Amino acid sequence: MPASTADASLFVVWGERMLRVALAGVLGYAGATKLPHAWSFAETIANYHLFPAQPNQVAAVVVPWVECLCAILLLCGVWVRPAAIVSAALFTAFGVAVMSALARGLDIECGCFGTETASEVGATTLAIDAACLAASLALVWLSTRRHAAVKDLNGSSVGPGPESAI
Amino acid sequence: MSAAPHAAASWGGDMARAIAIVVAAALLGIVLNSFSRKPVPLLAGDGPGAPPPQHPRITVEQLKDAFDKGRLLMIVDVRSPQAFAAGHPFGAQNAHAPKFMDRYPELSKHMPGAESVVLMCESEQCPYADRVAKLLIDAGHDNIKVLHGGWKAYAAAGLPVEKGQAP
Repeated sequence: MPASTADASLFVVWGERMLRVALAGVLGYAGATKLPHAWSFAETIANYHLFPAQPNQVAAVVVPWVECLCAILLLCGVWVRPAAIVSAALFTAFGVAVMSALARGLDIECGCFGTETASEVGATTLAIDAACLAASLALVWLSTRRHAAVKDLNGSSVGPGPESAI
Repeated sequence: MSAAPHAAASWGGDMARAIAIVVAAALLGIVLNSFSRKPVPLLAGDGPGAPPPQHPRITVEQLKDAFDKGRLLMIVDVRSPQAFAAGHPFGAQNAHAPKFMDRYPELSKHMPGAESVVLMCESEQCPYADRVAKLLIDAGHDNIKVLHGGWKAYAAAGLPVEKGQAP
């Protein structure tokens, strides 16, 4: 294998590992801090004034488990790309909610890492969300690259295919 | 076979797995919620996911008038300790809304003696004073008012202010 290809593979493998662990940490912490406080998390979601009571209550019960499940999958290296896709969807939704709250001038707490911490929605919240979204998308990309590299490796090990023989 | 159908199949499979993650989390959350000590009523229109109702307001002008007449008011600032430390009404108590019930036993001793308990949040766009007001009214207090415009209106009115942490 040429040195540059080996470097690129190392970058993909280690980049994916580091992003997996970092995202698992953020999602795991965010989910675990919300799990015991579903009631107050429902109130926190309601403060955004985006949906009626019922969707807010369902989200308060479901979202922390989505975060925890994604964290476990990322940490174990199982279903990495699907978990990263869900993570990207979550951070997109959080970003939209925060931007909407900022646009309406709401003085509310983010609730991003549970309801016990005092973190008001603002530029910092948005920056953290953007960083997590970027990390999720990078993980989707790196995971895709790794899948492609594994397929290439498997393909080359069985010899040249009919297209290369032409 | 070309690479494109492979890639499409792989993406399709991963999207299905992503949906499976969300469905599994939803099932887990809903089932465990029903066994929790304080389950969230998922289908209730007036559950915790409903915005708090608006409670009786007191304006800064009425507050100033009450100060001038020497009326006994208890101001409770429900903002975070950091916001409280940066500036708050003179003599106000701090009880951060998410942890209000931790301070309730101590505060409730003084509430019946006050003519009004005035709850204050950051602004009129802040729902925490109304949330705490609901808790207190449900607990049987009938002298609860919310400061219209919150801290922003109070500070703009030039009423007495102090800085520093709560004792």
